[in-house]
Amino acid sequence: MVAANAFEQTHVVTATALVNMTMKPTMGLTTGRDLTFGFVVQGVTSIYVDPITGGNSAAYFSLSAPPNTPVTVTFSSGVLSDGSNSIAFNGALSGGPSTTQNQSSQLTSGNTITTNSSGEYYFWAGGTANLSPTQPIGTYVGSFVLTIAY
Amino acid sequence: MLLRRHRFGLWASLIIGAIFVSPCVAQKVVSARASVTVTVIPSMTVAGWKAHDFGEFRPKSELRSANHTYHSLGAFFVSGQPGASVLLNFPTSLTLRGQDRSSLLLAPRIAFWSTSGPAVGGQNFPARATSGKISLDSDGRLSVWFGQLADLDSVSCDSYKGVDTVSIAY
Repeated sequence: MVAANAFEQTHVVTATALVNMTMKPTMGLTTGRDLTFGFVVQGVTSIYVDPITGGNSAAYFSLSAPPNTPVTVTFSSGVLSDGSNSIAFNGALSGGPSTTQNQSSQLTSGNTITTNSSGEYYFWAGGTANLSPTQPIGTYVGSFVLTIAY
Repeated sequence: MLLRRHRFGLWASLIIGAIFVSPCVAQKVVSARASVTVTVIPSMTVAGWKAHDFGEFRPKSELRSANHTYHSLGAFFVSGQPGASVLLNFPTSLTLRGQDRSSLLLAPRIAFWSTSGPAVGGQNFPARATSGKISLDSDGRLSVWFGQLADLDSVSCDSYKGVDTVSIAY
């Protein structure tokens, strides 16, 4: 009886394999850097940051989406304000499928772009700030808003 | 009658199709915002900030102040584009006039500094005897501290006054 029980004993071996899965949102747009014109001497009436050649002065966005997805890009800009005075600001945008800024192409609001095979696309924002010759001294702040429709 | 019922059914299915299909083709949007900043600064300015007062000295003594604390130094305050390189020019001699029309010849010395206020009090500065180039700091500021050297061997007792001038080329 004792011997029979020993033979009926069940032996179990197990193996585990790690399973990784990353859930990505359908469409994600992230701001990586803000747009900085820097210092401008009073009396200068226009200052421009080129989104393609502007380096770290330009704002930076990254889009994560399903691969090879066409999306429509729009952007808006307005005024920069120090609380009581304002500066007119016209945004400019470039974009490309790689993170190399100076290989990006100029985009206009309403353009359609297509994400790369990994579902990524990158944007850089610059623009023109138009000041008055007697612009009051101070720090002026505003926003550049990038919108993706899909 | 059958045809009319068929048409009704066709219309009904079209309407139902429209109700269920429309939400599937609705456009979705995502957006992100970046802040935009520009700072307007004054064009290059130079302002006298602190007069230079030697105090009282006896004749036949050497009068030195170029390396003394800021209490005995004068100062100019320069404001301009951050990091801008400027050339400071100052005279090689300065004549002070006494009340009895006597004169006192001084040799100006300049010490460069790059903070804006008197917080540097008590510091000693390396004096420069010649005009020179220097950059404004990251906030566009530069304090120019100055003093004078003089030999009082042949000077009569009097109160002497003069004006020191610094010019900025940029």
